[in-house]
Amino acid sequence: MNGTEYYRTTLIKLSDTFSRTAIECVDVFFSKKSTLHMPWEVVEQLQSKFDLILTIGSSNMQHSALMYAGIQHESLAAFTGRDDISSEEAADILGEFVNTYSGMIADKREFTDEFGILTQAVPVLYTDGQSYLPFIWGIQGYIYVEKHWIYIGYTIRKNLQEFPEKQ
Amino acid sequence: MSEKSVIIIDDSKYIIGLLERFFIDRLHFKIIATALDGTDALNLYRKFKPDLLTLDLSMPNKNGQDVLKELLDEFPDANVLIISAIRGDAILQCLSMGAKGYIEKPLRLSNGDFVADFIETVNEAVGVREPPK
Repeated sequence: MNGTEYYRTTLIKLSDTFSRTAIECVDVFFSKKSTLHMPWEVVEQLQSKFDLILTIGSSNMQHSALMYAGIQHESLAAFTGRDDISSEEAADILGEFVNTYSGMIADKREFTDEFGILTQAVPVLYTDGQSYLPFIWGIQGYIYVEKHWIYIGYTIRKNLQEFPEKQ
Repeated sequence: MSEKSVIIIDDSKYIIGLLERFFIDRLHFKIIATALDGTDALNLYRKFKPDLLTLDLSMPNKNGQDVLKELLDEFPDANVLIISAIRGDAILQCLSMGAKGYIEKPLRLSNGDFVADFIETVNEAVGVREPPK
C-alpha cells in the first residue's frame, strides 16, 4: 500500500473515533450536547471557507497533521452560550477548542497505535476568508448543536523527510 | 491556614477565566496575576513570588517548557503546575525538570473525579496536607 492509500484507509478506519471525539470535545468544552447529522467523510481536500477558521498543526518524527475548525458568525452563540461575543473572544475560545480537540485525538489509543503521539503547535486564526489547504487526504464532518454546526477537518501525512536521529 | 496565592499563565483568556473561578471558588486561592504569554511569567514570578504558578505549554513567543526551565534555574523551589492539552513525552519532561504536577486539558470542571484530582494535585504541589477522612 503506498503512503497516500495508507492515510486514506486509516482515516476511514478511524472515522468513528474522530467524530465521537468531536462530540465529546463539544460536550466537555462548551457544555453542550451535540449530534452528528451524517457520518464524517474522508476527502481529498478539506473544505476551507468559513467566517471564522482556526487551524492547529501537530507533528512527530514521522507524521504532520493539521486540524481545522470552521464556524459561521450566526452559530457562535449556539456553541458559546453568549450573544454578545466579540470576534477576539470567539477566536480565543475556538483556538482553545481546536487545541483541546487536537489533544484529545492525540490521546486516543486507536489513533496513537497508527500515528504515535503528535505534539501540537499554537492555533492560527483566519477570519472572513479562505485559508490555503493542500491536496492531502483528510477527514471532515459537522457537529450540530440544535440547528447550528461547527465544521471539523483533520488531515495528516507522512513527513517528507524524517528528522535525523540525534547523535 | 493562610491564603495561598497563584499566578496563571495561559494564552487563552477563556481558560484563564475558568481557572480564576476554580482557584477562587474551590481552592480559596488569591489570584495575584495572570498573563497570556510565557515571556511575562518569569518577571511576574520574580515580582510576586506566589505559592503556585500554573503554566500552559503551547503558547506563542515562548513555550511553557522554556519558561519552566528558566524559572526553575532561577527559583529551584518554585511550585509550578503544568496545565496543557499536550500529551506524551512533554508530560514526563516537565515533571523530570521539576514541575510539581500536570493537569490535562480539557478542564472537565463539571466532572467530580476530575475536580477531586485537580484539587489534590494543587494541594500536593503547594505542600498542603489534607486531614484524614
